[in-house]
Amino acid sequence: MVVHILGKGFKGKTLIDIGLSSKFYGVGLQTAQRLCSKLGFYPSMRMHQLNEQQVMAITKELSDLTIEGKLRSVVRENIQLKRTIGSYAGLRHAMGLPVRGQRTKTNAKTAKKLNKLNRWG
Amino acid sequence: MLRVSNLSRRLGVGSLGRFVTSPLLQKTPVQIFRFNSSQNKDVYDLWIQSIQELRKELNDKPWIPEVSLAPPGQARADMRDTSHLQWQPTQEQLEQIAELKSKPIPLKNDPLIEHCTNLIMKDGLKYKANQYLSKALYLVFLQKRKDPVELLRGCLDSLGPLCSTKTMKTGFAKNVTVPVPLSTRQRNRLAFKWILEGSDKRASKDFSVRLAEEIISVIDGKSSGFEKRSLMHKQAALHRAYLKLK
Amino acid sequence: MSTELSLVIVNRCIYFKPSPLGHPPATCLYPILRHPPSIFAYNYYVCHYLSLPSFTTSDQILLFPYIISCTTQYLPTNRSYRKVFLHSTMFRGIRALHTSAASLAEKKVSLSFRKEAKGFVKRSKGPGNHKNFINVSSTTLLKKSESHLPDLKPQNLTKNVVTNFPNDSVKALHHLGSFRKGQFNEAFSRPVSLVRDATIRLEKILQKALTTDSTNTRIAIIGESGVGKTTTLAQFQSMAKSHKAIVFAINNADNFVDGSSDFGPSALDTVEYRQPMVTRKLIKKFFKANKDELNIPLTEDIKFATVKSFGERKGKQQDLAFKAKENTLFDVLNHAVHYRGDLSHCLHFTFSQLSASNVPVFLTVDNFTAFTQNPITAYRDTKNNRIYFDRFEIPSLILRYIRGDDKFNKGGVLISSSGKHKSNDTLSVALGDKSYEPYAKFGDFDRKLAATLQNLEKFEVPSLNKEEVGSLLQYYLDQGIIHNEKTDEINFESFRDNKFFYSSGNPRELLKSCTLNYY
Repeated sequence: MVVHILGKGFKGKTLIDIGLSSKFYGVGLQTAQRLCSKLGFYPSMRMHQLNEQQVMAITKELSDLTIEGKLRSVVRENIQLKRTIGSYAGLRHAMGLPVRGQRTKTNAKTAKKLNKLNRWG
Repeated sequence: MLRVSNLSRRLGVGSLGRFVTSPLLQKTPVQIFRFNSSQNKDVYDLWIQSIQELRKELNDKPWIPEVSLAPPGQARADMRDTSHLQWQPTQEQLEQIAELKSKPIPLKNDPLIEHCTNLIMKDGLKYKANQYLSKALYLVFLQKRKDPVELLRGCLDSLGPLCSTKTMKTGFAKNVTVPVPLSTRQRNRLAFKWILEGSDKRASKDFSVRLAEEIISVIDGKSSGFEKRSLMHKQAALHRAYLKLK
Repeated sequence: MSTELSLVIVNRCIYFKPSPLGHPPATCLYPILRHPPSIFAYNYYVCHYLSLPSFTTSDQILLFPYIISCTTQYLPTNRSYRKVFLHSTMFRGIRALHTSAASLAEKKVSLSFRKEAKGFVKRSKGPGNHKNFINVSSTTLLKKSESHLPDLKPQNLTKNVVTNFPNDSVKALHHLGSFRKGQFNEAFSRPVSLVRDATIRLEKILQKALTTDSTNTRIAIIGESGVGKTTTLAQFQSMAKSHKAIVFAINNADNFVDGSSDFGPSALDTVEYRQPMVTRKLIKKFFKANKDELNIPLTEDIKFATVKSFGERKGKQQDLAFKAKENTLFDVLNHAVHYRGDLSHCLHFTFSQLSASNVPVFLTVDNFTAFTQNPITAYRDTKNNRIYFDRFEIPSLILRYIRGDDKFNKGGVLISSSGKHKSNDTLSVALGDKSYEPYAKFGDFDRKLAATLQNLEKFEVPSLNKEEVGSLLQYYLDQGIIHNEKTDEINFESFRDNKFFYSSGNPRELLKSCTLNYY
């Protein structure tokens, strides 16, 4: 049984807090746990046990948080700001290199993958 | 020269005993000495002196127990003398010894169980392997209500192939496959390997459960191992023309 | 087949002298081959058979492995004889079909006990049971054998006697969950227990408790892991059932603190949270186990509000009420076990009725150390703070009876510690085993809980002594569960001493060394 929350599908047997933290950008285990506590879910509650109101309540709570697209745009704005003021961090972002003084002769894989002005993740 | 056995005599049993029997402190000698240190300075000194002498003796000469442990007045001690233990075996015990002398020393482990354990074992984790086997045998016992070790023995006997094939080099271009008879240990090994292979295909995540199920299926004659056995026999029969007797 | 065989060579064929019974027919060969009595016997039969003229190729292929296997051991030592035998009987005019072994060979990686060796590739499920060892062993259907053991009756307890749980209480104990997985109950035809010194002491406590109120009998059963605390508690429950007492058993206190069941705000004033699923389960168990003793007339009324079910939206909103003096507690609980709404008011009503009645009632809690080890539960309130365990209905109820705020007119409260929990100072300080440490951390010592638990009386279950080990071993030998010893040869006393030494008097270790120890 699949449960859909904000357009994402969850397996019925998934624990709620773990499911939420694994699928949403910007929701970690702590946030998910806090959310579950607020809505009165018990620790080992599973996705398939949620009724419609509870799914709606989760949706409402999640829409109040800065997650997914909203969070990504915030990160992009921050990077853009650094670039426009001409800071070194902004430059490094634009070059796709590590920002905080890490070596670049080797490694720096994550930075090369992720660091750009229009950062995705 | 200071003998080791002289140490306690020099210290004086009386002086030790006095403190030990004191109701105030019945603790280790060190604590006692510390408690009464001002009165027992000579005891302290004797300890230190004795230890120094002992150390000197041990460092100067090689350690020869016969010499060092000799009682006062004798040059060497009889190390095999047990009279000081003041123990005599009873008549019953002597009879028991006489009775047991004729019997062979029993084996510590069943060789078959040992062999199977070793076949299960990975990375030298023998205890773990034995636990798996024991649990499996317990489950077999629960199902069949018979001695599971004997059941396993019967299993391996019925599943083990009698002969196998071996590739022999002839020296020419062509190698020949020759049927060879198998020893009991080889038969057991192949049979148990087939049981292990069969158990890998089963559903449970617990190895002992899978193994037990496979052993039970061999007992019931349903295991896929029997096909492997007949295949091996057929293979040997096909190559019987190459059988050479020295 | 120990008769002497003599070889006769006629026309390049070897014949054995026929058996005294005459020629065995060819068909009798097959059963012999399937269940070979001895290599020597089928050597004889096979050779005899092969010399028959009706010998065909397919027969030869079938028989070949046996011949190879046995002839090499039992053929005459003379080489020329061998050659004559083999060539004449086996290889005349038949050649190998092909020589390639590669097509038949099967190479496979052995996985054996490491199933994960394949990595995270999802396997299709194979045949067989999917459970693990403990669940398979505890649910294996057994061939029940008759056991002729005395029953555990409080009237005649004899030390060092292995007893059955009597028929009238064993069903109730099964309902209450007093027998656990991992107790090796499956090895025997039914659960058994040994009458020990602890049992007799507990029986005296029971006798006293049957007439006095529960504040006089508040017991904490403690002891090392595997020493038999749960079994001793089960013995107590059984004996209490024999006295027609009511037993309310909570067989695992972990259920209230580990976050495994749902919770919500309570309707009661005194506590904050209820746990509906656990409450329902407890009431069901309690009702099933104590059906016969529940004919207690009510002293108060109780109402069950109608709950809407899915089918009937406009169902009659009629409440069901049970009246004081008219109905009994049995009626209430009989309705409650099928009632779909909240049952926590029913649980509290049950307890208040039990306290008011004069029937002896025993509240037993197993694995109580769940509360001392995890006083702060896995549950969190709406502000994400973890909840202390006494804010839940059932744990607070247990504490009230331990503290003496509530009491049964006759009966007692028994709690039992668990070996699986980490030991901490709370219980041992409360029972006076350790001195109070003012600077101990909360995780090591819960002062508030220890103050409550001070009301408990210590009841220690000791390890087995040599005689007890002996009588248990005698029973195991009678039941035939010991296979790792040659039981017909052993000297029982030395065997007992050996087992006593290795198990150090721990019943679980003793049973393990008998059942799970093949070497």
